[in-house]
Amino acid sequence: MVDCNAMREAMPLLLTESLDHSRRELTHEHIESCAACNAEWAAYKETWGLLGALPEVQVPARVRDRVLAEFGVTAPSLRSGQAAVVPFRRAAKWLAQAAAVVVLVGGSYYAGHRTRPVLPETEAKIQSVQPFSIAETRVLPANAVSPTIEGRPNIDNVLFTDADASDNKIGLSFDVTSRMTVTGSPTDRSMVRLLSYVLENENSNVTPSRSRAIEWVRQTYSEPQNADPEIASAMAKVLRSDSHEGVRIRAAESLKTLPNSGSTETRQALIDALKSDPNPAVRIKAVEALANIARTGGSLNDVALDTLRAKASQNDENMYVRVKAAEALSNIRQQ
Amino acid sequence: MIPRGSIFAVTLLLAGVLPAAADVTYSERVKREIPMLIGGTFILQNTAGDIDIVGTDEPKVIFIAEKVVRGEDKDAVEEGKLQTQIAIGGNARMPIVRTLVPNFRPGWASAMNYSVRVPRTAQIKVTSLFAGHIRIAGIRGNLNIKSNTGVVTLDGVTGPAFVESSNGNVVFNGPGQGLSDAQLTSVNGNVEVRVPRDARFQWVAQVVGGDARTTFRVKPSLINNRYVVNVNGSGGPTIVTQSFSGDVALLQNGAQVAAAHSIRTAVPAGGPATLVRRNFETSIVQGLLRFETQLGDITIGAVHGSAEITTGAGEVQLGTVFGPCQVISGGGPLSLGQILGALMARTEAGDVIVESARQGGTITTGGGIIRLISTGGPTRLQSGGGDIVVRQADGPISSETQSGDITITINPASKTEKVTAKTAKGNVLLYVGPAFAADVDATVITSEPDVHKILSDFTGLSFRREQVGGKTKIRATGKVNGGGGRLELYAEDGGIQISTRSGSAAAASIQP
Repeated sequence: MVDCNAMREAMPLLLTESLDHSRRELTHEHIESCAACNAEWAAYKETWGLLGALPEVQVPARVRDRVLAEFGVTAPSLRSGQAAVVPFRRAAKWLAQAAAVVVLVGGSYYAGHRTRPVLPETEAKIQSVQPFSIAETRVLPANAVSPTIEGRPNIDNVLFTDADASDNKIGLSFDVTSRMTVTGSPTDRSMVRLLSYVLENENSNVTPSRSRAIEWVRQTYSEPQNADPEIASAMAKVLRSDSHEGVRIRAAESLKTLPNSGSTETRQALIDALKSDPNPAVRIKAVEALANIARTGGSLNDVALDTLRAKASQNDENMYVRVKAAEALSNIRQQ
Repeated sequence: MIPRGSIFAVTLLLAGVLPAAADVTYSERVKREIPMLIGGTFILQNTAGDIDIVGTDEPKVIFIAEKVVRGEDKDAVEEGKLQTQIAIGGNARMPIVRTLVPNFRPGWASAMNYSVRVPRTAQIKVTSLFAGHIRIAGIRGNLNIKSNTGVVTLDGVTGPAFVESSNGNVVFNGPGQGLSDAQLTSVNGNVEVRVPRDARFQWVAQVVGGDARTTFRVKPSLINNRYVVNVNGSGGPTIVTQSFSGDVALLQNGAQVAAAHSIRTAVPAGGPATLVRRNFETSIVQGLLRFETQLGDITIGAVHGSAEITTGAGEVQLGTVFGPCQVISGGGPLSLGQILGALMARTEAGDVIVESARQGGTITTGGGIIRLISTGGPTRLQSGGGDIVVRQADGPISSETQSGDITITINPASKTEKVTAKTAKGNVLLYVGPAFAADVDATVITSEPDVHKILSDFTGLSFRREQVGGKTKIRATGKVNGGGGRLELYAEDGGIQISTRSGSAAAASIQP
């Protein structure tokens, strides 16, 4: 629909051959593939042809003289007495066609903007201007975006937005081929998939930083109504693989507080972090997250129990981690 | 075969996991025989219930399993009966017996008690989540026992034994002859070893929150925080006893634990102190507060004086401190409120959150996030790995992290300030007022120069780019607003942003 509107706006310019080469080709391609636009284009051409076929009419001399006088021009024939011939047919035709173009352009623009999807103002708000982002931002509702992300596109300059914290709607702006902003509920499948994709992709250039973005996601998805296992899974992947210790700390913290973080995958990520993450703060948060799982009746498998026992007994481990491991074990209850 | 008290014990075990209304109990027994090679490995995996394994001379496994189900009503018990099953697998070289129980058990709980006879030369591997007890007797092969609860008892086993328990006690009753290596660990329980008076072996004891005791006359050495003792001379097998929260004891057969003496005092230089947990919680302290503990959490609402707090490991939460404040933790997060005097906060591991350091100070963590909401004086922040965030600085800031972002917001009204921010992996974000004056020296070292940049809302910086050791070094220098305090910013594998709009990513100039 959006494409059709844009194409119809371009038709008058196509008619007058005012489009550049690439847009002309694009418009023609669309017209060939879209029946509705094809019909529209045929109507344009017909109108244009009709205007071109108007009969030649001689202007009455007095009308001509009055018009010329109003423009401050004296007809040569009045001075020389020679018959003056005004090529009215050609001028009239072009004037009529030009007027038609104006009407068509204006009408198309009006029609196009009337039919454009109406988005809430807050969703379309750009929080900050990206450096060198000169392309227009396209704003799409999350439910209009396919939840399948194909081909691992390079998503860059990512900005998380929440214009109105009370409306339970969030936004994600990023560069793909152009600047895009996807808005919607945190529970929209496309939004969840998009956020997961960005979180897992360490190379995404996130504004202002990945740490802050993870904190933002944690806050958003800690709300019980927004809880989503896919977000927890994405956090688990971040915890496993991100080279940035500050980011891993935040991911571990997220898994400590996010609902739905007791899945096999997230539990294993916590176990691995507790076993071998070089940062003690990550290990602390991992052991606390496992303790939370144990305390809330979640099941810990043999590997988790082995790891906790090993940590509690590990001589060179930080004492606080050992204490927390022992506490986690003491909290394990039979369901 | 199954001890009489078993059903009672299991009923107790299950009682805690069902509502008080649960009063329907069902039990049934099955007996099975499985062929097994005498040198094979027997594996038993149980979820809940007692386990008794005794060595015999027969080349087979004979077990009696008693299924006990307790539920809210008959239907629940019926479901429990169906859902609690025994799976027998493996082969004669490695027979495997497993109890199958779903994680979700609405309105019912179950246990499986096993009484097993195995070839005494077999290797035994047992894992149990919730056991009343696990008893292994008369086995010569290797033993590997892992349990979460319940007492693990080894009677007269002569093969190497490895026992790990989370919360239960471990009791090792050594054989009259043929003692083997053993490693006996309980995280939150006690470990007790009983051997003949003349047994010769090496005893290694490790405790953290408990004590190591013995009735033998020994001269322990302290090696890597472990007591090492030669019992009845050097040589022989090694018995390792470990407990994190509990005690370990080595006793002569027939002796009582009460008769044992601590070996800590027998170490010439004095053994490591027992970590006694001592928490401290109070709302208000008048005057000087000096508190030190080897292990414990500290929670204090307000200190109307100065505070000196040290914990070997624990969490510290302080409200307002009206004087100087020194907090040191061997590990654990620190959460500090309004600190009116000079602050010194240090933890070996964990996050540090400070609401306000009126006179500035020093905040360090071996690993963790540092978040300082506001500071009014010179402040030094250092993290072994983690982000550093200063929300509002009214004084010079020196910050450094091994891996993490540094975000500093200078009071917008501040005309100039000296700021140092260095991260070995991450970004530096500095927010200042539009009139902020400084001498800028910003350096980015990166292998991705298209991603990691120096962005500044201030114009007039000059940029230089060069290749250093396979990476790109980007340096921006210059005076902003006529020059002022030195801004020394350094980021590896990250970018630098100097912004005049808090939280924005706007940039008026970037490096070439």
